[in-house]
Amino acid sequence: MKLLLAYPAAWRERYGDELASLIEADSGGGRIPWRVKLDVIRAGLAERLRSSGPPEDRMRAGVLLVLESWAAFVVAGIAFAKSAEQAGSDAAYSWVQIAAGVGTLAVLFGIALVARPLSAFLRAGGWQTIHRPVLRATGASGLTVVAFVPLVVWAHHLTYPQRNGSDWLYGGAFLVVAACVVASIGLWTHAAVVTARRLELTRALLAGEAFLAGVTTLAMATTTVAATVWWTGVGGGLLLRMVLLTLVLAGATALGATGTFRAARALRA
Amino acid sequence: MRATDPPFLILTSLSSGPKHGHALLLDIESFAGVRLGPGTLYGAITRLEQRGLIEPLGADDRRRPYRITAAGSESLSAALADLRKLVNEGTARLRAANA
Repeated sequence: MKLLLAYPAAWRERYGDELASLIEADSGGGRIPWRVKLDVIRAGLAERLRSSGPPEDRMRAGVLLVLESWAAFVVAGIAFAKSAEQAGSDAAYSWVQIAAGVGTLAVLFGIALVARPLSAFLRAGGWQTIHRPVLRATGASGLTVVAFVPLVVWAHHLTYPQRNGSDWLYGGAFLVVAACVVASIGLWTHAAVVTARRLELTRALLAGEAFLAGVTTLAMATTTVAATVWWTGVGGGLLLRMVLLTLVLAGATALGATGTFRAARALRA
Repeated sequence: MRATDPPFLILTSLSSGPKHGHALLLDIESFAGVRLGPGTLYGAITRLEQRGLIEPLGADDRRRPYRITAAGSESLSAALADLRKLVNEGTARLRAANA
């Protein structure tokens, strides 16, 4: 039952069958009502936040939550940067760029830290267990490049107003490419999470990852604050879009803070 | 523990004998008028089992009955005593106000 994926694997192992049987009995074997679905998802996520198990597992789960929130942050950040092209930049916008750069560096350092365990994992035949998500992500990236190049060529033949809403055909193509970019980011993040769950990581290495997760979260928080300061100064027609994007940035930051908190708590255990 | 807290309702239900998840939902609805969601019920079952207040019995197909432990009975008694104190106090104050 897909609904149970909201719960941690260890919890599903122990209670999954019982809960699935209860959900089936409660819904009379028919469609599961939304009320029940929401209740199960909420309880599953609460269980994830609470999940016990060895501190190393909790640290890893916390760090991976930060990685997932960073992916959501990047998607909203790209949309923010695209919208910001139309407005001027100032000191607050420089802070947005600096903080986003620090976050990117922290994530790249985090990836570099696991290079050796990743290499050992692949040499031990681990590719077989991760090839599907990695190939899916590679395919999505290839599709994005194939769609992106003609779009750039096309954009060079258009005027500024045509590139920014007056040519609906170009606008549609732009949305398709944007969807490909979002899919690529999502699929690479999924592949990274699937892989990271299988790596043999020492406690010291996990502590390093937890530190970088903290830096990433701090960078997300700084970016969100600086972005808010920037667009409140710019105002005008961008207001509604900026409010929505800031809400996504703030949501991703909150998720990152949750992951960092979990990793830090597990580190102290 | 408050009277409408899922752990309190589960302990009360199990005090009359072991039950599996669906039987618990139906029993709680019948005596408390509260329809717990399956996720809420199993969240509370997880906590109660971790605290040693209930324990699982052998699985019957995919369903697993639970029973209250001695520690669970003690905890329920203490919660009921607290609740009784509150009921008595509230009743006495209402009576005094209406006298």
